[in-house]
Amino acid sequence: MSLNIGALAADSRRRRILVLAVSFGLSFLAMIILILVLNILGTSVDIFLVMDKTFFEPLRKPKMVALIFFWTAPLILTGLSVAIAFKAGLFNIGSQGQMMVGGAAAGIFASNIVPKTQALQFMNRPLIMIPATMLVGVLAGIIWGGIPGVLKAKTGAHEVIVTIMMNQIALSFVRYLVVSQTYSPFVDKSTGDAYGQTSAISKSAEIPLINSSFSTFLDWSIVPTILSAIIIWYLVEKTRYGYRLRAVGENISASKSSGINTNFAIISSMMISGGLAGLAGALQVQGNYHKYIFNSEGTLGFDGIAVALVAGNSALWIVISALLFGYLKQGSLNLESSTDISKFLIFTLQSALIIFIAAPLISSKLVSLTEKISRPRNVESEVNGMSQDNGGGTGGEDTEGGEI
Amino acid sequence: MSSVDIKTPYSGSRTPILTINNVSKYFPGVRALDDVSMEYYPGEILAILGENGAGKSTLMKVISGLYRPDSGSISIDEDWFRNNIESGALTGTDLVNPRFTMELGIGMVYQHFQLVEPFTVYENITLGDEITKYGFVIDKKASIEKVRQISEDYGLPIHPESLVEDLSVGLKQRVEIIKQLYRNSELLILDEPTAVLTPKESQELFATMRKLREAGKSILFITHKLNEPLEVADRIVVMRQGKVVGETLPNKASRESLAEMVVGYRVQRKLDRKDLPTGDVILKVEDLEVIDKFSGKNAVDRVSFELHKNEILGIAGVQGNGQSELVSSIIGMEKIRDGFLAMIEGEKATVLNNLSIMERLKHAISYIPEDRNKEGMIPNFSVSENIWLAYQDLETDAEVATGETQQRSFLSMFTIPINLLGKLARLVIDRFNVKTPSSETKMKNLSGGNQQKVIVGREITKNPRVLVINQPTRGVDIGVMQKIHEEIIKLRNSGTGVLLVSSDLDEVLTLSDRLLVMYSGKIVADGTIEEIGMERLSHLMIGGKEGEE
Amino acid sequence: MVADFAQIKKLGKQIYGISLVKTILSFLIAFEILVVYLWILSATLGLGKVYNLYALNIFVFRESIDTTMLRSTVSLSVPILITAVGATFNERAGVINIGLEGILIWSAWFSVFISYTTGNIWLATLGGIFAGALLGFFHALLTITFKAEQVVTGVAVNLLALGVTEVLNRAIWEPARSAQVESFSPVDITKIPFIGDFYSLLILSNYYDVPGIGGVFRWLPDIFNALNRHNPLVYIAIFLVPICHFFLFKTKYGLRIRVIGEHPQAAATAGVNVRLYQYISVTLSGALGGLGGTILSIGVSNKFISGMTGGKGFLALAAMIFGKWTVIGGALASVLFGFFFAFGIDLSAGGIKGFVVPIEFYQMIPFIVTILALAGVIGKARAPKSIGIPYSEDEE
Repeated sequence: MSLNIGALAADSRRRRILVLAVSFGLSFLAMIILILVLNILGTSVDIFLVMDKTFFEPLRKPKMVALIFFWTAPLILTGLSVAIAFKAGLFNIGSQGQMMVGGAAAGIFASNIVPKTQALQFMNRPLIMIPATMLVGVLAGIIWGGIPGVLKAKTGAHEVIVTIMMNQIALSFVRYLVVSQTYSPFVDKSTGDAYGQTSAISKSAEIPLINSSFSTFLDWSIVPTILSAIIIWYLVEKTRYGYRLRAVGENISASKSSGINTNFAIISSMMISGGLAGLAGALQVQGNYHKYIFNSEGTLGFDGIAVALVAGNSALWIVISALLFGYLKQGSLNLESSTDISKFLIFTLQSALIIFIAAPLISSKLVSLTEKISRPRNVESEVNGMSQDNGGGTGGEDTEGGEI
Repeated sequence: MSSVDIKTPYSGSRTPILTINNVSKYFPGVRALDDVSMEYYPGEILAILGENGAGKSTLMKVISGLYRPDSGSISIDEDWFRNNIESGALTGTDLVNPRFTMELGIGMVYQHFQLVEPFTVYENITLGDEITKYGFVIDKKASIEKVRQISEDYGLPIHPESLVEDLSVGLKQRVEIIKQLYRNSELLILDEPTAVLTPKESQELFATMRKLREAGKSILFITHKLNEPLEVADRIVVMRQGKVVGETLPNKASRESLAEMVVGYRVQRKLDRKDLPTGDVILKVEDLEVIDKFSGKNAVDRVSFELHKNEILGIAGVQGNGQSELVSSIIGMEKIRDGFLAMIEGEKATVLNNLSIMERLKHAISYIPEDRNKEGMIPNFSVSENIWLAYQDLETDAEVATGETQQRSFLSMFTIPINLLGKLARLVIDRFNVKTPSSETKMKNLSGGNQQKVIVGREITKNPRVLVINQPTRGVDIGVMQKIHEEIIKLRNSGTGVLLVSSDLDEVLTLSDRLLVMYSGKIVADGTIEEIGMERLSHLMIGGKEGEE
Repeated sequence: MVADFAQIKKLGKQIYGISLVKTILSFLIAFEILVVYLWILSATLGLGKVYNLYALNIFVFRESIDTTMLRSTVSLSVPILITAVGATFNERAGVINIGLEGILIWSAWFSVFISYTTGNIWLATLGGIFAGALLGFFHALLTITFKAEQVVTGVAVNLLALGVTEVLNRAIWEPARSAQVESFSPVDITKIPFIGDFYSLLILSNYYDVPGIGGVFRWLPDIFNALNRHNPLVYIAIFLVPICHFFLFKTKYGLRIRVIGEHPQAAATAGVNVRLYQYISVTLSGALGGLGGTILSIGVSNKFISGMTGGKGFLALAAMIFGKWTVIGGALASVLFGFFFAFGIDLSAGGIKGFVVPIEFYQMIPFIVTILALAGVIGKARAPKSIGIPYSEDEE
């Protein structure tokens, strides 16, 4: 099954953007409908207040804008994670779990393993600790993403269900590592069972803030994030490996018959995918919380799916898309803190967006309608030569046995 | 040629029950049916004869309602059909959809069976019109009984409770026929029924057809085999390239006269085939066995042959006799169960059995698959990206082809050499006259013929030692076919050994230096066309035994 | 002898649609994997005593047939069971629906909502079923008419349901949980005359004096007790299983549904309205999932809590695959999963003396088993041939 996500397969760039815009519009509409429903149910909701808190508040003060960038960084990484798997034709929903194990591993490494092991004290300086901790997070993610990859390649086990299961397993496993007061050696026992976190990580592993007087949220982890985006873009578009990955995602049969090692493509793409999400987890620990806190990921893993789809799985567009979703996320938090509306309202918007992108017929039918009105179709060209929208190669010529 | 005044022995009246009036049907770039007119009389077996691509299947699909004609119409004698059916009033003569035509009494037996494998015979037959208790519970006993009854009435033995997947191809077809009889079809249309049958099964089918005719049914069948209409039909209509070119009776026709009508007066293109001495052996196949995934039996049954340099070795045979599996196993898409496959280079013989596909490609074996959409190309990739599929890790081949040498650097190991690829794409596009706005156009926007040119072109420009092709000119027009043939010959002249599989016998005969005839997974003849002879060739292709008439 | 065995196998296949022998074998394997897993855990985590494998087998077995264990198994497996049965319908019709988790959570919430506003638990049940059917219909609309990629749509529906329930819940009550509402109280089925007599027969002590087999008979009342005193929805759900099986395998509608999943073209040429049947199957599966969600919220519990579905929707999917796309198989597999859940809860409450393993490792068990099942470790299965491919009339 090649993952042919409708809107992404549209032909012209102009059309793609139009379909995307219409999808946004429709999702927005869905959100408004939900708000209206809330009104009907008795919770009076002032739509204008909602709009203000969600869409305008994040832009009011520079400190607010800084928060948008805060969210953007992990979204870029989870978006990349989902996108690169998509390129290989795989649907990785496991970024949530991969981010979790990455963060937990990084947190435990920097707060417990290194400080408490005499032999590793040589590592306890920023130059080594910062990349080392990041690497630990990445490795954990690679394993967590690699397992579904291997299973898919070797047994055909559907990666969607396996990654979802891995998410659930990660939830339990990390819970044991970080919340279980009784059994885990890594838990910060001073806070009590409800809080679930490791003790503070070693200072040498912390990623410093860019300008502490301006914002306590912006740290230098944006650098490895943007670097990752550039590297992934280059990898996918310009290298031979990327070519093979894309080929496998498009048509696995043709790839096989041209000699591409499809198993390797599947497994490696899932590993990279997991590694990116793991990095996201590690950077959150190192840059922001300075310890690993259970469930601090929120919905970042799932948000990555929307980020990737809107960006058409293109690494550079993901940066823009992540900005957009960071903006929405901050808006949703504002909304929740100042009204009775859950931040999940935006989550709903995102999910509706995924639906419209995956079922582009809805949006594209609307777009086609407007096109039809503005430009009459050329019947002659359809009969004689190449048809406008799809290749003439599939029209009646390629029936079995060359029969017509 | 216009309709000949024919007396049909089996009809009471001379009123046709089905008339096709000037029907035309177009697909992008192709005129599948061109002003076709035909009449069909009750109680006869009418054969529609023509080559692959003549338009027969399309015509049948129009009749059964699967396709709508772009112009013209089909009219039926409602009274005749209505008299034979108890069902309610059916108005209108536009054959709208399969359900409608089925209710009318026209039953299609498709070339590709519409059977659900894991289910039983009676379930398949009664589907859609099930026999039930209380209106919704399946009455297994009654269903089985009904199937048994039809089976006895028409003399078509079958076990109602067998699973379809356990049946032989001939029996599966029988199930399809019974399916139509269950629905009280009066007119049965059989689309290439013998394409997948053994000779014995074909004979059984003909006997069945005669039995059905005795029972008052009318039959229309499509075929491309010259002998069949002569054997079983009451009347023969010949089609070529979407037109009706002739009509005759079996007692007035012969294989030669039919062949003339079917093939037409086509100018034999002169191909620049140099008379070269056959080179050394380059590919050796010995006792090769490949399993058929579905049946578990050998699709390729102990096949042995040798391919030489400067040679085009053509495999003649009806599709489905193991050619595709053979070719797939040579490139590595199918696993070899037994026997061995080796490349011979001078003194060295390299066994290919356990090599990966990429490794085989590195030995300069090229492959053009039969289904370009599924295996040959990536529609969403550009033309140049599709060309790259063939070259990926084979830099030197690309350099040789274009005459460019790449700068080797550390980075170049990982990146795609854009400049080289650009030149390569230009080379293929120019040499093969590929009509495309640019080399970056997406493959899916090209016509089928141009797509095939890209696929064939990228392999040929690699100058492989061995080229394996399956259906090189499927779905392309004459001009493209000619170009591809020219290039294949050029390649052969320059030293390549070409293994060619095609269901177009004409193509095989035109191109090949030597022939292999494949039937049921075995090689039944190996030699030049002069050595084998046309008669014996056709005979062997449909499974006749040596020494038989 | 061999011929008879083949006959029995085929008979079993015909009656239940699955091979009984293979299923029992898979169950035994799964059980053994569980024991080995526990053994490995106890050995590596170094907590408490380490048992030898044989002894562990005995312990686990004894533990499994405890009445409380069996009770929990029933309550935990029924929501999964009914959802898995529903999933069998849509998959058999060729449509993949991963959105089961979303259906569960949405119907769980909605039934609580209806119970809150009307105070009527049966109305709430209908509401839950309707909610599930609605979401199922939505999925059908997207995948059948709009031909969306079925997997992506399923995931999106899950996320959508999650989002909407959170928003609605917070607006009405508070984040993450609802108020307590009217819910079902347990029903004593021995009150039904026929069953009551059956039960009194069971507890007659005479049987148990028979040597050997007597020991087996002793379990019967325990098993009966485990099945008794559940909320009425559980019994409805269990009752639906043979009905669904009958529908799918013995009626003409079921036949058509199954054919559509294998070879939609054959169904179309036989005059079956493929679209209609697909719509009905998916909506029906949504409705059954809706019942499952209702059981979770007002059947077994009396409120809605965020995340109360805990992956059960995906487990239902796995159970269906494990059960080889048959109703009975899916039901049995769901019971197995329920057993794993119950087992985890029981053990962490100190089931086996001295056996100390953190609860989180038990929580993982159903998910690990699912992965193993998908990887074919516990028996390979074949999906309906034409699944996931949107059917369109103009394709040949």
